Amino acid sequence: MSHDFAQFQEAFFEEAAEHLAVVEEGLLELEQHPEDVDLLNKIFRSAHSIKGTAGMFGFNAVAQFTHKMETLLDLLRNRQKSVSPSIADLLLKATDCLKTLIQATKTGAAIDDETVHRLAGELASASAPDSQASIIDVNRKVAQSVSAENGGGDRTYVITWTPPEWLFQRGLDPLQTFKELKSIGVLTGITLDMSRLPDLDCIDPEKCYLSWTMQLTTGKNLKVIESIFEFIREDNTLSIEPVKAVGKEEYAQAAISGGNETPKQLGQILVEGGLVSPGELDRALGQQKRVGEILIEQKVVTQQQVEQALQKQRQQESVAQAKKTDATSIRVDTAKIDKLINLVGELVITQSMLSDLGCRFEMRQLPVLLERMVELERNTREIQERVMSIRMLPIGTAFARFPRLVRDLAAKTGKKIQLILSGEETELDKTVIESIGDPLTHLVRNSADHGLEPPEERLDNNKQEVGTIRLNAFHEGGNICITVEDDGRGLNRDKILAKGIKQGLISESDNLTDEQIYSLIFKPGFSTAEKVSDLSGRGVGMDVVKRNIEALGGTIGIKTVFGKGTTFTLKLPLTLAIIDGMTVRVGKETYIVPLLSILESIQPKAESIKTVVGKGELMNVRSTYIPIVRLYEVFASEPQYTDPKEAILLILETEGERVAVMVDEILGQQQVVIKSMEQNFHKVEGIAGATILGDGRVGFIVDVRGVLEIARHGSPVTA
Amino acid sequence: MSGAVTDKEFKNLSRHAAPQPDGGQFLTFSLGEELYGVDILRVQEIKGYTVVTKIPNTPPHIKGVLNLRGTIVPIVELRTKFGMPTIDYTAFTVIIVVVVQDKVMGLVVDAVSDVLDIEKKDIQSAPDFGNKVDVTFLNGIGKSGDKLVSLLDIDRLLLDSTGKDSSKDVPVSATA
Repeated sequence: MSHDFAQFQEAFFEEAAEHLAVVEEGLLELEQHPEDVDLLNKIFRSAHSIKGTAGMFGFNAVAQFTHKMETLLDLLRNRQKSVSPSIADLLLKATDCLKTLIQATKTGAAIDDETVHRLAGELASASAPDSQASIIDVNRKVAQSVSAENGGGDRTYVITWTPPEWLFQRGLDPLQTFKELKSIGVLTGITLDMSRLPDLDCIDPEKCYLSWTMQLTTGKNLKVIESIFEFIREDNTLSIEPVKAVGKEEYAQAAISGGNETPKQLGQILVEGGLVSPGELDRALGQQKRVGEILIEQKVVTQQQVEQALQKQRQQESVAQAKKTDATSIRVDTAKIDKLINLVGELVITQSMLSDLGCRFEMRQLPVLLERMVELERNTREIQERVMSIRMLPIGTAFARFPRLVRDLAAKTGKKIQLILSGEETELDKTVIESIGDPLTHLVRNSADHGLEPPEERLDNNKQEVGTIRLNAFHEGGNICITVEDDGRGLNRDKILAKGIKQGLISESDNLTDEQIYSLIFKPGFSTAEKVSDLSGRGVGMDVVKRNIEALGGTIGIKTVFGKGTTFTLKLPLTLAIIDGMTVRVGKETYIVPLLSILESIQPKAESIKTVVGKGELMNVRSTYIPIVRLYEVFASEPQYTDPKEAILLILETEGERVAVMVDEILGQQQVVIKSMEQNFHKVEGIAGATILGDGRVGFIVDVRGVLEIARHGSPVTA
Repeated sequence: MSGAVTDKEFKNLSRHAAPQPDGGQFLTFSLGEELYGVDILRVQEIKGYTVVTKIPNTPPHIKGVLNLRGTIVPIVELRTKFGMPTIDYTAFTVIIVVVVQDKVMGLVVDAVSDVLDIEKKDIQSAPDFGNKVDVTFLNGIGKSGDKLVSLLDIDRLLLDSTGKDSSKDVPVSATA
């Protein structure tokens, strides 16, 4: 496949994802407002777009499946069926299935045929009329989708079509047209007219010399058929002549005898003959044994061998998947690009003014030079900001999955939940959005599953029957905050405390703040204890959530009132590529400490430093004792000062813990571009990444947590 | 991450002797009196020695990292890596930047010597000195006139120096 084509495909997948989101969102809303025709139309349009483009790219599995969804949607919007909870549920399931189908098409992974078949069958049976209908009726409805204006009777049309000669030159494929015709009815008696075909040496391969005659039996009206030829209407020689109305029996007869071009599959003939319904056929197909099972039964191969082969298949799939999912793209508001182009234009002008000045520079022009330099700086900074903003997307894309999630959770747990989203327009980096999805899902699931009480319990406690989960995103300083809030039962402080003591994480004598106690639920292993997760609710895999958030350079905090609810607050950097840092010096080395973790910096007085057991140093910061970590010891470098009185202590906070890190000097605050150490090297303990300093040298960004670990347990590699 | 070597791949590399290199062009450089060669196709560039930033808590043969037009490149001092005595850097001291499996790394060597054509018939497998001398980083000995060129197995050398697991598995300086 040519590269260009792959590019279009990429665009298709993106577009399909957007349409899928519209469909899903719409379906969720439809559950609340089943009478909303506009909504149905919107859903239908999106589904139709997916079908259309999928067909154009030859993704037939996707197109066919979407077609089935469309059929049902069409019935709904034409008021031939009404939206019932079961239909909405089915359509949602079908959307999920379509999602995986498209994903599978993208990555080349195998398709779960069973589910696709089953859902396709269900969709088909749901598309049957509401009344108890005979099997043949079901069948006809499936074939014709919507009954036509002539009382549901099928009509047969003779279509004579001579496509224009330029058909191929415009990239159109007559086969596609036939497929579409087939999708609205039964296409029979196709004859090809080759009379216009010139001698072999006169053939222009880019021209179409063929014409066709065929019969189409369909319930659709003439307009629908004509619309299939819409793309190629001009220069077309097309005649569509109705023959006669056919009765049901004739129709069935035609279906059985009709397909004289290609032999039909048994199931298809049975369905078309009205002897079985598509649903029944699919169920029967579903019961078919897999090749592996049959071979095992015949004792040709052992179970183990089949499993090995399956595993191999899966491996190959996952390899194929890994290969194909690498490329990602981003859709950007053109206004952003325009602004950027303007800025680059300005930059070019500034640059030419500067070089002009440089060519014949005299000392008296120095003020002009400085002025130009200021301009250059402004340009550069603005371009940097704009370029960063290209990666910024509204967080709404990450929030979009939650209405569905909460709906499903409510159904599963039997609770009544309303979800309130706010701040969806808050922008943050694409990579952050992508990585924030899973932790957020976990938190929302926890809130719905454990945080909120069942309706009866809520009523007993004088609460509204419907529990509320609130997701909110907003900017705060240079960071973004996301809160997940519920009005459920809240955390039980005493239970957590007891559990913590039992697990040996804390001792009874520890005088812990509430915050420290609640943060226990982030300890690995703590969560698995069934008592805590049952009674106080939180915890399954919270350590993973915390780790993921911290991997993004963020923090997570809890506020909870027993019986009233819990709020989780995530604080994240806007982007992963640039952080605000404090440059500090230790001996000759320069390090960058993330500003987010710095609370304050102090030049200590002698009396505020105490030792424990002769060695462990503590510093008194407003009557709290904070352990001191000497950065030069952790990084095994040569410091200028070894006496804390001469040095500077940075009070840092990590995971609710405070530590005073000793450095020689603070150089200043600046934004730094994070460079990966892992790209060419590997992760280094205590270092979060590297950056290029003003003088072109490399400086390291301090990983506060890592530094603390090294200080406690000694350096991982002996220098 | 792209270019990362899995444990399995690494074990394969360690278990099997590296395949003898085909003939071709080799960039040769000197460490003291000895002459070494790397496959010229692996060499990205040669640059004069500049000050590097020391990485905390890494083995001594990792000199540090360098900013190579915005990329962070680890620099390995081959003398230390091979357990040879260190010398002061001179105007001839260079960094040879090599690329292996998407990873970029710099080698500090005494001086660049020449680009030599060595045919396959002039390459013999690395000698076995038993435990006395570690030759796992060589995949052959090349002859060019009366010169003897130790051909470096750049993959092993690089993976061994920058792969995290290997720094523990393999002794840093096995030669005495």
